[in-house]
Amino acid sequence: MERIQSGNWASRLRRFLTVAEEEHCDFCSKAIDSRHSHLIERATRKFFCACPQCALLLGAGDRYAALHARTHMLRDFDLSDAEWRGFRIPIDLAFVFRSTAARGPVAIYPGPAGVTESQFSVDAWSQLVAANPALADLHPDVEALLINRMNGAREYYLVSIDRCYALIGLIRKHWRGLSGGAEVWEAVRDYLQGLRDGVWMEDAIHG
Amino acid sequence: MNAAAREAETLEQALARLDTLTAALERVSDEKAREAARELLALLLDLHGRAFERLSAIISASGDGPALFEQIVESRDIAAVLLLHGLHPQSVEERLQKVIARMRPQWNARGLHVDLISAGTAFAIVQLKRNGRAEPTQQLRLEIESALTDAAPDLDDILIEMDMTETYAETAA
Repeated sequence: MERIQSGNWASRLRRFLTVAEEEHCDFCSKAIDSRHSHLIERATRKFFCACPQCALLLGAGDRYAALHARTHMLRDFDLSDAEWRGFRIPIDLAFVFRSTAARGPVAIYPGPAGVTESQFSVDAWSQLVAANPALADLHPDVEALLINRMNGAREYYLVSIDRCYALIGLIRKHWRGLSGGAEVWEAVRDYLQGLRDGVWMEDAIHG
Repeated sequence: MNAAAREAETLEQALARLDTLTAALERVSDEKAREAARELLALLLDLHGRAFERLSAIISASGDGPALFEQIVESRDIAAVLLLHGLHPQSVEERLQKVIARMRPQWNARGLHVDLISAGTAFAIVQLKRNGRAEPTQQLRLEIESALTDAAPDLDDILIEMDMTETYAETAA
């Protein structure tokens, strides 16, 4: 028996219309809206799609954490160049978040291997939080401090962790050679511009 | 397309264009644009669907409902829209059997025998038997498929099962 694809306009149109309904909750299999919640498994950092009920039920537990899409530019951030050098991060772009699995702050930054992940000094993190109280309500595993000091910039953002992973993905995809190459930095510049635009929009929404 | 050209367009041409445009929309990479198109289409169809459902209910409730329905679906324009909304009064099976019955004399004259094996909500299976006259297999399939598809555009697929005996004989000869 051979299968022939037929141009069935009614079935095709219907399928096009129902594609959006084909996403399902990873926990209860219920069909979910295209704009659904995401949970991250704290230990593995894996993302899961969730229906509103499962997100509410599991989102603040020990195993999973719910993602909250927010991007805040942290203005008047207090971090001197000397303090920054003390962190011993070899590149002027990094993000730091509190990891439940690592039992403490973790720093992630681009490097020749794509990205490098290292423990971040607990003392240094405490000092950062003391100097910048906005960091105190950073949710572990799902939110990060993004630091951009490239080419003289001094930008600090509080971003949801999926934005950080998007940046990692971008760097993995475009990194060439030892220094990354022009392409990767161009991609990073676009990403940061997007972040600023996002912040701009958010500010506009909240007046 | 201007109004005059649209007026002159046959139902077949309009449906073929609908199929092409749906395929084009599936390929739109801008997710926001695709979603907006999808939502707009869904809403529009939903509005029409609601009206047709009410209309169908009113017709069914009237004295000569079934007869009226028979008459209505004779119009290919109305039938197409009812099919789209899943409101066609005849089942997929009935519609396919009707086509097969209508085509039988012509097919038989060419040594072809077509049987409907099964018809579900997503696809139908028909069996094709041939005796004698050799016609290119692919062309035959296309012909049968398009005749059946016209009556059941709401199916994902129509599978044509072939009795291969004749084909083997053909190859050996």
